[in-house]
Parts: sequence; C-alpha cells; structure tokens
Amino acid sequence: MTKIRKFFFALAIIPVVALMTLTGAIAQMYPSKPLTLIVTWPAGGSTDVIARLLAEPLGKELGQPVAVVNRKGGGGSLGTRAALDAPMDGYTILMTTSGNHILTPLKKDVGYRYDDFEPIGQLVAATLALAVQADSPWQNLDDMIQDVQANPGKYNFGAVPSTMPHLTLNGLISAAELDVVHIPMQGGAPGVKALLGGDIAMLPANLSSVASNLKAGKLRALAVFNATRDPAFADIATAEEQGYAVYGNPFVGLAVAKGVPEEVLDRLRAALSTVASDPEFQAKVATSGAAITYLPPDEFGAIWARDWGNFEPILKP
Amino acid sequence: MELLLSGLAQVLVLETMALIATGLIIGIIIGAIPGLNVPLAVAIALPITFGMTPIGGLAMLVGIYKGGTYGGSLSAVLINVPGTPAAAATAQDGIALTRAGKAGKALKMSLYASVIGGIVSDFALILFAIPVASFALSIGPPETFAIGIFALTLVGVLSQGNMLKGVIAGVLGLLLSTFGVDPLTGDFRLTLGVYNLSGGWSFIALVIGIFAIAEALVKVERPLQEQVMVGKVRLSDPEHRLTAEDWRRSLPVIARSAPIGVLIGSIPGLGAAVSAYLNYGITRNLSKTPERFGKGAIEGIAAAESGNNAVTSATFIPLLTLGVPGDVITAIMLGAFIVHGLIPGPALFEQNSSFIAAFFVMFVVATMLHLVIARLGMPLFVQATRISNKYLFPSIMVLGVTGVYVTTNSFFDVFTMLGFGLMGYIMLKLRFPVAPLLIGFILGPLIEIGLRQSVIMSRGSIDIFFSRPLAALFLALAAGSVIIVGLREWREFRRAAAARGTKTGEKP
Repeated sequence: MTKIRKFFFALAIIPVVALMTLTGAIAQMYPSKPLTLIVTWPAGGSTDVIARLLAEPLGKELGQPVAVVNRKGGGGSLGTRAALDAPMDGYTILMTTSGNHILTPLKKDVGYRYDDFEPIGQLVAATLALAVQADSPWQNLDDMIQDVQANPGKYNFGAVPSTMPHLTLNGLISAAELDVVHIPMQGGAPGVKALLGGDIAMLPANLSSVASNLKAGKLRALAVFNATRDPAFADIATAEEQGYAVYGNPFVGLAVAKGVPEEVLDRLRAALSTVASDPEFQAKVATSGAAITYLPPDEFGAIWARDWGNFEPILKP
Repeated sequence: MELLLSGLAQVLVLETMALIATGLIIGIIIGAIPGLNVPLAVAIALPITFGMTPIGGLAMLVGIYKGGTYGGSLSAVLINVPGTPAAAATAQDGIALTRAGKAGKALKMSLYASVIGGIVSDFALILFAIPVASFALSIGPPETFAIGIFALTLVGVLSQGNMLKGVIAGVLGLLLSTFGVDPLTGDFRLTLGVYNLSGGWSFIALVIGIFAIAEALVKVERPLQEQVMVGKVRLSDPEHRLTAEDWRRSLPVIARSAPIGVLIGSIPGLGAAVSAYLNYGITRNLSKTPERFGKGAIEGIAAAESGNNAVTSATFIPLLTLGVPGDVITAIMLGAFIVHGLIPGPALFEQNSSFIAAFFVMFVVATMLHLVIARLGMPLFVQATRISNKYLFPSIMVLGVTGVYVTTNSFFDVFTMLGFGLMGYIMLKLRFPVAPLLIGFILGPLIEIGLRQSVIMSRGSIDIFFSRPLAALFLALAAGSVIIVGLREWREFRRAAAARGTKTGEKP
C-alpha cells in the first residue's frame, strides 16, 4: 500500500469513524434532558399513584428527572395519542393500562392500535374482586348465583362501562347465565359508594379500591378473578376454585411509540427492570394496595396481543 | 379526648405549623390568581410531600386546599374575575361593594364567613363524621338528580335581573356539558370528528375563558387609566369596616349556609361551587330584600363564602369513613395518604387512631392560621384595586394561557379557552350573565347521570323520584324555588308595567 493510498483510505474512514462515535455518543447521551411520563387517567387514581411512585426512582436510574403529566379523557385515548404524536426520541413515555391500550381502541376508532407501541415492561397486574355488602346473605359465588337465577332481573351491579371489571363480571354472567342489571358508574370510588349505599348489590372492582372496606368488615369479597389467590387477601377464594374459570387482570406498564431507536429502548428497559426489582420501590407500591408483578418487554407485549385477541370479538362494534 | 390531646402535640410543632402556613400562603395566591387553579397546585405539591412525615405532608396539602378555596374570593371581590369557579357567586356582590369603594368591607366579610364556615366544617368532620357519612350514603342517583334540578332552579337568582337571559345561559352550559364521552355507555358523542373533543370541553378552559378572558376583553375597550380606586386604601376607614347592621344581616345566613355546605361537601361529586351557588340562591330567595342582591348585599358574600369553605373539611368525611373522595382535590390527596401507607376508609380509624387524631386537630389549626394569615395579608391584597388595568388585564391574559396549558398540557384547550373568552365577551356585551352558564356546565353531568342511573335502577319507571323521600323533598324544593322566583319576577314585571302605564297616562 502506497502512502497515497493509505492517505485516501484514512480520508474515507474518517467520516465513518466520526459517524460511529457520534451515534455512540448519542446513545450514551440519552437521556440528556428531563423525561415526560404520560398518565392517561386523572391525578390521584391508582395508575397515577404508581406513576408518581415510579417517577423518582426511574429518574434516578436514568440520571434525568421524570415528570408525570396527566392527560385524561376519551377513555384514556387522549393521553395515548399524545404519546404517539410526541417526537420518537424516547423522552415521552406512556404509562399504559388495559383501558387505554386495549379496550378503548377496540371499542371506538381512536386512531391507534395496541401494536403501535413498543413494550418497556409490565409493572402491575391488578387483582379484581367481586364485592358485596357485609350484611349480604351471599357468602360465596354459588349463593349469589342461585339467588340471582331464582330472581332474574332483580339485582343490580355497578361498573364503569366496558372496563376490565365490567367485562370480567360479564364473563361470569354469561358463564352462569345470570340476569343482573348493569348500572353504569363513573369510576371506582363512586362504585364503592353505590355498593355501601345499597344502590347496587355487587361490585366488580380493583382489590385496592375496596381493600379498606374489606379490612374494616363493611364489604365482603365473594371471589377474586385471578389464577391464584391474592397474597394480601389469601382468604378470598378464586372464581376458578368455585367452579367458574373467569379471569381478569388489568395491567399497568410502560410503553413508547414504535420508532424509538433501539439503544433508547434498551436503556429504558434496563432502567425499569432495575427499579421494579428494588425492594424499597416494591414496598412503596405495596402500601398503595397494588403489588409489583414485573414482566419483561417480550412477555408484556405478548399480554397485549393476548388481551387484544380476547376482547376483539366482544368489543369490536 | 386523650387522643385529640396527643394529636395536638403532634400538630403544634414548628415544622407542621410552618407547613400549614406555607400551604395556606401558596393556596391563597394560587386561588386568587385567575388561571392558576387549586387542584393543579395540590397535584404539583403532592410528590413534594412524599418525603415529609404523613401529617406534615397532609398539613401542607390541606393548607393549599383551604387557602385556595378562600383565595378565589379575593380576585372575585377586587377585580370581578373569580379565581376559582366557587367564587363566581361571591363576585356578584363583592364587585358591587368594591365599585362603591367598600372593598375592605367585602374582603372582611368574605374572610370571616370563610373562617366560620371552615370551623363548622372542621367540627362536623371531628364530631359528626359517621352520621354525616350515612347521610351521604343515602344520596343515591335519584337524590343526586333532584339536588341537581333544585340547584338549577337557582340559576335565576344569578341572572342579574334578566331571568330569560339567565335561563338561556344556563341551558347553553347544560348543552356544552354533553360533549365528549357519554358517561353511561362510554361512546363518543358530539365530538364533531375532533379527537381532542373526545374528553369534552375542558372545564378549566371554560372557567378562565368566560370569566377572566371575557372580562379582560371588555376592559380593553375602556380608557386604559381607569381604576377602581385611587389613593392608598386604608382598611380602618369607616367605609371598609363591617358594621353591626352588616353582621345582623350576615350571621343568620352563615348559620344556615355553613351546615348546608357541610352536607354538600359530604356528598361525593357536588363540591364547593355547587355549595356556593346553592347557598347564594337560597339566601336570595329567602331574603325580604332580594333586589339588593347583585348590588352589594353583604349577606350574599356571607352565604357564598361560608357555603364554599364549609365544603373543605366535609369532603374528607366520605374519604375517611367510606374510602371515597368527596371532590377532585381530595381525590388527588388520596395519593398522599396511600404513599404513607394510610389507606383512607373505615379501617383507618381503627388502625391509625393517633394519626386520625392529629389529622383532625390539624384542620382546626389550619383554619385558625388561615384567619391570621389572610387578615395580615388583607391590607396588601386590597391594594390590587389600585393596579392600573393596563397592567392587570394583559397579565390575566398571559396567566390564563399558561394556566390552561400547564393544567391540560394541550394547545387545543388554550384555543378552546380563547374561544370561550370571545363567547363570554359577546355574552357580556349583550348583557347575558355568564355565571349561569358555568352552573349549567357543572350541573349537567350530575343531572344526566343521576337521571339515567335512576331510571335503570327503577327499570324504566319515574316513580323512583317520588317514592324516595329525599329525592321527593329536593324536587319539591325545586318546584317551590321556581314558584317563588316566578312570582317575584311576575310582580316586578307588573310593577314595571304599571310604572310605564302611569307615565304614559300622565302624558297630555
């Protein structure tokens, strides 16, 4: 090789090397500014609390603060769209839930599908319980089912329309061929009030939203719709144990819009995995009535596909 | 009692007191500035309190809540722009007194009525939480519907003398509240194909638009130098003092409005604004001199302010006894409880009685500090009337835009706010009152959801509204209110017609 050829070779290689270092530097630089975590539900709700608990340790792990932003409305679709429309640089993360991710886009045309997003990881799969008033004569699912079958159309239940609690109880209703009337509710808390006030006879609800009333003996849970019993309420039998294979586990996790660079995805996934396995963070979330059930991105993505497939025939108009 | 004493010991430490005071000052400022809103302030402060002791963190949030609910009345009284939706009723008579050079009088009554309402609410929370909660539980969908209808009939009293225009504005508010998601089926309706409308019209954009932006647009037309008052305002001057006559008019009103406010606060979903309008309306309807209202009736301020502040502690009654937050702010504060491992609900009383005791004491201390801080700040606040409009209203425009954007993170809502501002301006120019529009917007969902849920519960029969005693009672009150207001309007119409008649009769 002559000197001249060496020179030209070097000349040719400079931009390549420069480009490589530059891209490497970009990946290392991420994140170089604060991140936004979009919550699609109002401040103070169960998802929001988890987001706010997550923001601090996640920010520490990434070396940049994470700001929680509530974009509520339209069944969670407004916030989800905002995450999709943000620049695909990984600075906008979506706190995604079964509601805004699966159920809302199936019900109506909101301009996105579950697979427009990349999974970062699942944080929580909530337990759903079927609650009744403490002085209700029903002690288990069979009591309830026999009474309801003997009195078709007599009893009411409350649920936010087409949410996981509603769809899960609908699963039981069709399995046991029940005739109960749905009173649409505006949220978890109004449902609890309606049950306590006797306006409805039963309430499918997130265990965390009825936990205090269960502990105080004001409400009783007939069943949880889990594969196994909830460790915090081990005395509540699953629906499956009582002969009805009905399940419902609304998820909460992180996602970003498809198109975010691979290095950025890896960085976010590693950070979430570290935070989710931190006992201090787990303990904080546990006090809120939820339990961390972390799933890595591939498994979280598989749950999206599974739920989408399950609910598509029920919800597609 | 011992528990309350131990609670006192937990609260009367420098740190907690300082946190309450900080919260109150932040709350009063945020509440007073149109554009910044109290739920947002509580939400922003929430993560800051995670690192504090449970009682310290909650003390600061309760301070913001109480201060903010009161602070809205300052801008309502001084510049006719209610800082919070609940202060719109206060503005009716507050601005009239300010224009008459009696701003100090209005501010003082607003503060004292707020503090008395607050104290009544604190003691209701401490002493009667359980019975009040069982009252709240007896308010099901039919009762919510009936209360909503009753409150709606009071729209007339906020109409500033033109009933028909008031009703039109109220109906417009009801109509606007139906946009977005159908609350019962979850389907989109009236979104006009605009996906930003799928959440309905933004409440905060509506409030800032029709009150702050509209007022600013109206002021733009007037000479820039115009001010409400010139020269330093001294609160000790006789026109700024509350007289014995003022108190004689106001005390019975406060004695009625505060307990009503407590009951409304204890019912989840109603809130401070409903309480303020309801109490203002009831007071005007029962008054022997209803024509003074809207022209500087001191008891109008007393009714609205004791009514909306009596809500603040009462909203914690359903939270602590049932685990159900009473309004938007307590819903956000639920997060503060949860982070400290305190799950609000009946179990909390048994497991954390010492925390509950401290929490109760903290409310009373916060109300006392509220009185002290707001009274010390009053000589300063009242000078706001001397700020020239050329600085005041441009600032309000800027704060409105930032306030909406910070709250909703949506430019669509900023444009919505400007649109509502224009609408409010046109309404003001055509002498339409804007407060009824806000009431319609707030009450619309309550009435709709209450009605539709009730009819599902009764399997299609309307008997449910008459067979449940409380629902029937509120519907009877609504009918009574329509009759009282209707008779009055008719008499006034007759009198005016007669006056016209004699005038024409005198003509040769």
